Amino acid sequence: MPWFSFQRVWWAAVFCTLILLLSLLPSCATAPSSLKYVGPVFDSQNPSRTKESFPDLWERWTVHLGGGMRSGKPWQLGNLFAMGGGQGGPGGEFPLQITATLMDTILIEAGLQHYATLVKMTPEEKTEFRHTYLEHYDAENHILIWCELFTTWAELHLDLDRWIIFIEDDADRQYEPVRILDESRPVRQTVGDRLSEFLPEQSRMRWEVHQKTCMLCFPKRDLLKNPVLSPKVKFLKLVFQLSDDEKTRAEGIWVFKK
Amino acid sequence: MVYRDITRLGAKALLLLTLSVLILVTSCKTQEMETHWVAEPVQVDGEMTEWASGSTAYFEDLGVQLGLSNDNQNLYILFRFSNQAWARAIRMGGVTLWLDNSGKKKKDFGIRYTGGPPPSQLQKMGTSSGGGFRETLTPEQQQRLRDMEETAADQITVIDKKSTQEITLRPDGSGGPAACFASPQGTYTYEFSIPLEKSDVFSYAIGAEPGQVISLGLEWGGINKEDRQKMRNRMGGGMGGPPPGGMGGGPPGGMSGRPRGGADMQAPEKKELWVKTQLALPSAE
Repeated sequence: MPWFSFQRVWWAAVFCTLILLLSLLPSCATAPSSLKYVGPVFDSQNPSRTKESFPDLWERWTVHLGGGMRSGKPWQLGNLFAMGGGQGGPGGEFPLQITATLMDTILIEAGLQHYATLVKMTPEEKTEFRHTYLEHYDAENHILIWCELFTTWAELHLDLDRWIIFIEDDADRQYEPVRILDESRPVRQTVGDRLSEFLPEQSRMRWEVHQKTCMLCFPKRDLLKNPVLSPKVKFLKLVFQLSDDEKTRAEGIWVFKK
Repeated sequence: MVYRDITRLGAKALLLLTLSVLILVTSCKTQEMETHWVAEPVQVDGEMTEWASGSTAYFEDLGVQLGLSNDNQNLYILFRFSNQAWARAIRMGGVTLWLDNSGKKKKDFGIRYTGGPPPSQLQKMGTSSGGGFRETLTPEQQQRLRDMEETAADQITVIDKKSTQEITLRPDGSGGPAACFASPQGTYTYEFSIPLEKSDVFSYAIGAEPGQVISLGLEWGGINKEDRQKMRNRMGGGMGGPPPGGMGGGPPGGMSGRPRGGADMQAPEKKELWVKTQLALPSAE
């Protein structure tokens, strides 16, 4: 067989294309979707039926977005471009980690009950607590999503004005929040994995963690007064997308089991 | 022909098995450490004053400092690190100290210490109450909740496989083992004292004497479902809903080695550190 043959060139081309694809494909800052099977029905009509505890329900209705950040391999071409001022986080990573909890009626009721029991509320206190909570978040008119955002990158990534936030159902209907309530407390924390006295001076670096907590309030009914989350809806997707770069996005999905 | 295929397959399986065993053995290697003799009992107060630099070792892979010393009565253990997520996990799920007087890695006897930064500090560290319920409580109700959380932590649980139930003790040493937490200069320091021999007063002891080789294992993070339930009940729910087993954990990701925030910080993966040591003899001072 001769050293140069078309077959060899063809295989080399296929190999090179594959390598190029592998290095380019994962380099956009889209984090893989986080998916949670919930249900059977969102916004259950009879909240008293559930026997699940608040922590269990909380876990069931919580999805994590942006957790699957790229590891930032230097040979990924996207990283090289991003280092020169690309979008998303430095190195092209999705810059946020987000936990989002869809506040189903059952979950809200369980939470109210949980705290009432913890604090040993009197019946009057309990009624007042319930009333204050439901009124504050206007749970009757809003689909509520509790969000916690974290970043070890610059604090500006937490600026919600940089992000297009919306929910989307299986029929591609999209809704933006009508209200975002900032629930953050002014906290500063740092992350350092090593005891500094055992590290050389130049490695004594501690990363600051910036965080934001907010309640996203989406409309419960569309413009035609139809419920946004009818029993027909198969899933609901929460999307965080950088306003000037649609590739930098993360999604969390709640799939409603029938 | 078939016989040859089976032999080849068997050889491959054997090779794979050998490799797996080798990986397992090297990854679970128990490290040896020296225990220093102390003439005076160590005050279990979370302070470093009684720990000379030579009596501790730094485990670089974990970023943990461990100190061991003993007298005739007790084994003293110092455990230090600077990882906030671990401190939070220990406050919620505890750190378990396994003690094996056969020098192996048996998890038959141990103590779990649940303590650490107070809830007020934990909140500064970013623990979220989740859902906005806590924020809706009146200031008086919030204080009631904080008081309840304060009293719920700081305890020792004796784990004895021979006994069917777990025994809860005060960490002041009145029941035998003692533990204390402090965070001087932002470093999380846990100090323990474990009786070497059982006595008439308490029966929770290592069952070893100076000069004997023992193994000691520290386990923290990666809480199981039961513990998570307990912890949430104690902390008032929410907590950002870390998934079972965390979100991957592992070494800090990213090109620059930045650690990740969020769920990683809230639910660190399980860590384990085993050391083998010979209890010091008075003559070794």
